[in-house]
Amino acid sequence: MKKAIWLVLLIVTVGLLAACNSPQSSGEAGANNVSASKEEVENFPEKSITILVHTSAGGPTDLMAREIAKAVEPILGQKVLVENRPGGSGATQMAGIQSAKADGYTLGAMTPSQIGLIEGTLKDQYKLDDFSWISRTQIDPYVIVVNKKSPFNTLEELIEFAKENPGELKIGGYGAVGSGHNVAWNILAEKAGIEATWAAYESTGDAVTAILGNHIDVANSNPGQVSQYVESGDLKVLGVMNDERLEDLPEVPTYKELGYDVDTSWTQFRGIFGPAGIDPAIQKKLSDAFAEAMETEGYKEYMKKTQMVQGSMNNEEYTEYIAKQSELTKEWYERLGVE
Amino acid sequence: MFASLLDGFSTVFTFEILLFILVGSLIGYFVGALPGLTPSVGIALLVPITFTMEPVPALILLVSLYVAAEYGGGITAILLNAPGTPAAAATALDGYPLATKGQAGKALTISILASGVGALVSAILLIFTAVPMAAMALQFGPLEYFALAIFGLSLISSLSEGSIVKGFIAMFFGLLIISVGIDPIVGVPRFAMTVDLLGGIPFLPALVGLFALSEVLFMLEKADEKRNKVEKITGLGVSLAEIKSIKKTMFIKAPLLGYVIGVIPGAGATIASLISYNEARRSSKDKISFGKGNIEGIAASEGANNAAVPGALAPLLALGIPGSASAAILIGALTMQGLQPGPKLFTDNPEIPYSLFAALLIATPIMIVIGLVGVRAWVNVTKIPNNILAVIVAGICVVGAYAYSNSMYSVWVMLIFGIFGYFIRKLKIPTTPIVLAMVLGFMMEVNFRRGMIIADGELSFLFTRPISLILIVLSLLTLILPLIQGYKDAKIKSTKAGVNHR
Repeated sequence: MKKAIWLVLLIVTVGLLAACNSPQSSGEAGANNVSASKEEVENFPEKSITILVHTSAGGPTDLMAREIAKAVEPILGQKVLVENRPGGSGATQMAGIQSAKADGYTLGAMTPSQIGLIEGTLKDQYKLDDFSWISRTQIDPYVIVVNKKSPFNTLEELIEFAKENPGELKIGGYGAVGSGHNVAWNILAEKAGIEATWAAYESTGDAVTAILGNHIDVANSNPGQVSQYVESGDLKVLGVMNDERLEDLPEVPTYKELGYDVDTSWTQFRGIFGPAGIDPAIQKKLSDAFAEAMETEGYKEYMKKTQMVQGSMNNEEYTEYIAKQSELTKEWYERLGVE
Repeated sequence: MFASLLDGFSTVFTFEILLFILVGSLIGYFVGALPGLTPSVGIALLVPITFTMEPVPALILLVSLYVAAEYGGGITAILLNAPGTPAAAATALDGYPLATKGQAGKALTISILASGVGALVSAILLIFTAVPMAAMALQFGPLEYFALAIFGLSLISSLSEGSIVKGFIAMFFGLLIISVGIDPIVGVPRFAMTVDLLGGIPFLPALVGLFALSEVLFMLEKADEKRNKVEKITGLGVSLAEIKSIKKTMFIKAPLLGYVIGVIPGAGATIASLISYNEARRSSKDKISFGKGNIEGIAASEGANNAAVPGALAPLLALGIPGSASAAILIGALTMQGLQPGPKLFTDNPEIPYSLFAALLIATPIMIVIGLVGVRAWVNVTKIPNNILAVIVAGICVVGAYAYSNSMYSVWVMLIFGIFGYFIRKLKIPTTPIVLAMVLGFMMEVNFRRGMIIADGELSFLFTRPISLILIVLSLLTLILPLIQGYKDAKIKSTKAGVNHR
């Protein structure tokens, strides 16, 4: 009996060790700038690719990584594995990416969080040039929601109230001052000339729970997180920060329609990045494969179900886009006094 | 409703689903028993496998794992003083002393029975009250969470075995640890000297170090000593009279407390087990025996942490709000299946909640049987000589800590906390208040500050809402009553001594 237990324990331990074997430990850490031979480029990929995710399994970014991995597998003809590396609001994953061999076999899923880290808390550690920006895979626009019991039925009413009572309005959303959600709100607030008080939550889901319980006046959220409560009548969406109205919320006007001409390039986006120095030809190969994957039925269906917006960009467009996002982030950090 | 429930049963009573329940429970046992692998980590590891399955079996597999893992944590807590899950920390308080007396079998049997009863009673409560209880969960705003955290922290006066001052030292140390990392409200790094520290000190590796690794060091101190004889398990392993003596805790209080606290998003199994343990001790006539191997303490903790699982499912099923970290991953898993847990789940996909209810009712007896069989195997662990056991446990600690984040950082955290834990235990400073502070510190801070923002900096907001007011009054009582009691006892003792002297 005793032997059997230890055998089981041993198997579990060995299994765990095997599961823990990370790709970065197999490549020589820090050996960046791999210029691939012509042959290597042509044959890429010759082994499985790993996408590191900076959140735990089950979140929207993890979901995106798994869906794009599933869609891109047959196109690349190799396994695409998704590995979760939570911690440090993305810092753990970025360290994993940066130290990985720049051969295109270790990639990462990303959101504006990584840009925020590069321009903010980790500005001494990382620069934009430490990474390759491969592909933008989707947009998750920001929306403004209120509880069904809220006196505000339109964005104008809300803004009028805020104008008359500066700082009175309590708005909740994911992240501290300077987070993607917070900046999105500030962009609107600036155009509308209003002031409100920001209450930070640990996730968009937490902010939605708070607005469901009517503990805050307004929440800055994303469509997928609130649509079911809109359908059930528990929440009202007042506006969406996007160029066009959303397919799933056709009656909700954009900020622009209401006269607030905001910069909609500031949005919650998700994409794929890797360490700096990946051979340009391999970057292009990956970027093309991801673009093709985004056109597959499976990926499109997932996008529709989770109410994401198409936002495909290839590596060149994405690199440019990231540079602009980075500038915007820097600008807003300065204005909001974020260190 | 009953028709839907019967439909649920007919879905579940297939070979395939029963097999999933069995497999889920078995994996759950190991996940729970391994310090470092929590139920949420276990679910996260299994989620990708379920993507290719049908929604109902996928959910049932994950939930069986979840329930069994909350029990599994108690096994190592009892045998090795190494809680496999944070929620089993309170189980170790009485479970380990009982095991060192050679009664590991009894401790394990009580823990599995209490877990089973807790999960079952809570599952029945869930079936009837999921919707109204979920509505209650929404009542919890920043104020209520702050008050709940304060109430939880007030438990240290009864959890700090002996010196209350040492308890406070431990608690403040835990709160200090929590302050490391990025400030949750304004986003500035605090005490974060390295990039890794930005995310704070990970709770689980710290817990493994404090409890398990420090125990390894104690084992090494007496490496040559023979371990106590292990009492043979006869019959059930525990007498009916013993179960009768703790029936109130086992059948009513622990399941009820576990369920209600489980419903509150973010509170969860750990807080439930500590509050339940405290309540069992408070209402017991034999307070002194707690912490020395009282079976009621084991039943209170294990019953409540398992009851918290169905509790956490209430807001998930009725509102789409996760009641715990594990429930959050379950929502992700359901979303991958194309289902949206939320207000419309009961009307659009009634087969999901009802087959889940049925699965909970069936999975629990299966879990108990596996557990009772398992007890007979597990007790043999206590026969392993200290010098060998210490090496094995140390190995498990390292693997568990590594598995937590796939990085060496958490292994270092575990090692440092292990050595630190050894020294503070030498100083007779209790480790449970550190755990309590680490579980509740973040909740207390972030909700206090959020509450202050929403109330425009008016402190009076603390007393404006009934739930928070009740909780604050309760915490004051919890904190002060044991002190008064202690003072009285001391007085009686001194007068008695005075009488004798005369």
